[in-house]
Amino acid sequence: MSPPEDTVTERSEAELATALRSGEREAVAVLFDRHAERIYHHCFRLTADRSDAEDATASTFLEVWRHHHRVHVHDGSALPWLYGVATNVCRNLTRSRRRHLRAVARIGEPVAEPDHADAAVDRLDSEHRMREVLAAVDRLPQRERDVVALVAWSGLTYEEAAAALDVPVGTVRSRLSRARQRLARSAATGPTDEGTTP
Amino acid sequence: VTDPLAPPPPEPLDPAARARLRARVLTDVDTVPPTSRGRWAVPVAAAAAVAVVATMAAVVGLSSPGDRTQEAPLGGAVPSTASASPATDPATTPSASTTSLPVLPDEGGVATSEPGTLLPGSGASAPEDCAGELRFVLRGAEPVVELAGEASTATFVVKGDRWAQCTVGPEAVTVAGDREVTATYARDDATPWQVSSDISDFRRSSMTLLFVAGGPLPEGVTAITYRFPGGAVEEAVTATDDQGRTWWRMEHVATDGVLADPGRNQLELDPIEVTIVSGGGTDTVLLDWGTDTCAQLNHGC
Repeated sequence: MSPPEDTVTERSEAELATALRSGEREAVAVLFDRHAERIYHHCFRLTADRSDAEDATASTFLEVWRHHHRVHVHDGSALPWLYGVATNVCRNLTRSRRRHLRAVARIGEPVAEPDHADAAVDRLDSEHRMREVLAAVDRLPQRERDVVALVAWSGLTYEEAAAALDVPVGTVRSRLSRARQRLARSAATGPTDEGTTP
Repeated sequence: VTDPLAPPPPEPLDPAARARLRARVLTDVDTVPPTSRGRWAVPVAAAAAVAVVATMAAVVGLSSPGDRTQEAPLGGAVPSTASASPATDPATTPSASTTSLPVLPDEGGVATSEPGTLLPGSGASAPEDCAGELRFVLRGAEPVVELAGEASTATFVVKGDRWAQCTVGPEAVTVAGDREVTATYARDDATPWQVSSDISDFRRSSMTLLFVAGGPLPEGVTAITYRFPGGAVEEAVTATDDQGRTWWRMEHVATDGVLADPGRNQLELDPIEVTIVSGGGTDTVLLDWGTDTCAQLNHGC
């Protein structure tokens, strides 16, 4: 992840961070314009629900504003920090819904609303596939799920994920390694009664 | 089996949705004040969008001095001694998230004990959010155990013979306690069970109240149950630190009913009823709104 390619008239993310820390509201709008798409995708991967992902995306940028004095810029980009905020927002959003998601996963295919539009079908399919993915990693400790989401799904480097989670780079490596080992063991032993799809 | 590392390809955010979200964010930015780092004198406004967390402080010993010996865990479950790792998630949001939550709440429901996270006995540091707040309460205290709930995570810290509880919630960091680990209280004393309460509006659609309580588990206590106005019941969960001290914690999230009614005067609500079961019998303590529901040390209610 490289810093955004600014034109002459665009401010760098370091400048935006400075503006944000000083309470400049416009900085939030600029960060939203630059990064909302990626944050939305991240939130979708954490929630498997487009509506929730939209809510979480909005909440993420509101949190950015509410805690603007904590903004961090990593390697010229605020995006890792934004990922960290989004991860926290989505974690809170999804925690209370985890049981429901598990139940849905056990039941199997969600019942689609009568809608023949391709977009609606794609949307449901995408959400269902994401639920399956989340169910597969559901038994991982939260901290390992976070690393999987950031590194394996959102494509952050270890360093960026470390910045997002505010942990040492070595911790990111070890968590991802443990996650892979757990998932490999889980795949070898087959699905269990909980947290996996039928 | 689905490849867990292969989520579906990202689909672009619908332009209309993007515009709607952008407008929503900017509207919120115009109406929501940023959070101040120094919360010590911040009265928590009842208004929307200001976050809240409730923490409560509890302490020790009902009938005999609490000590550092291992207590029977609530609900009979054996507290986990899960992996030790300093909790250092991002200090980015007030969301609970600043602490690692390696163990999810037990699926068995609120009436069960659930494992906590054992933290190193020395050399560990509190989550960044907590560290900032604890500078004014127990500076230099070390985290000993962490208990995660639905919406917040509590880290118990100890310095010498004193303890505190730092709760990182969706919007706020709350510190309570600052009492002696071995303190004892009369059976009808509400002090150990007091809750602090905060209001969160982080999802915009409704007000959420969060109540958190916790502390060293008094000797002999086997169950702690909170009954809130409206009927909600929460049972405490426990975890044991590496010195064998057992800590309890209660969290209640209210998103509807009388507790989450913005127009409701809390002082007119029935008291919170706390039931404590121990070898010596069952005690009931009533918590009065206001005096017993604002135990946090670092911001108002």
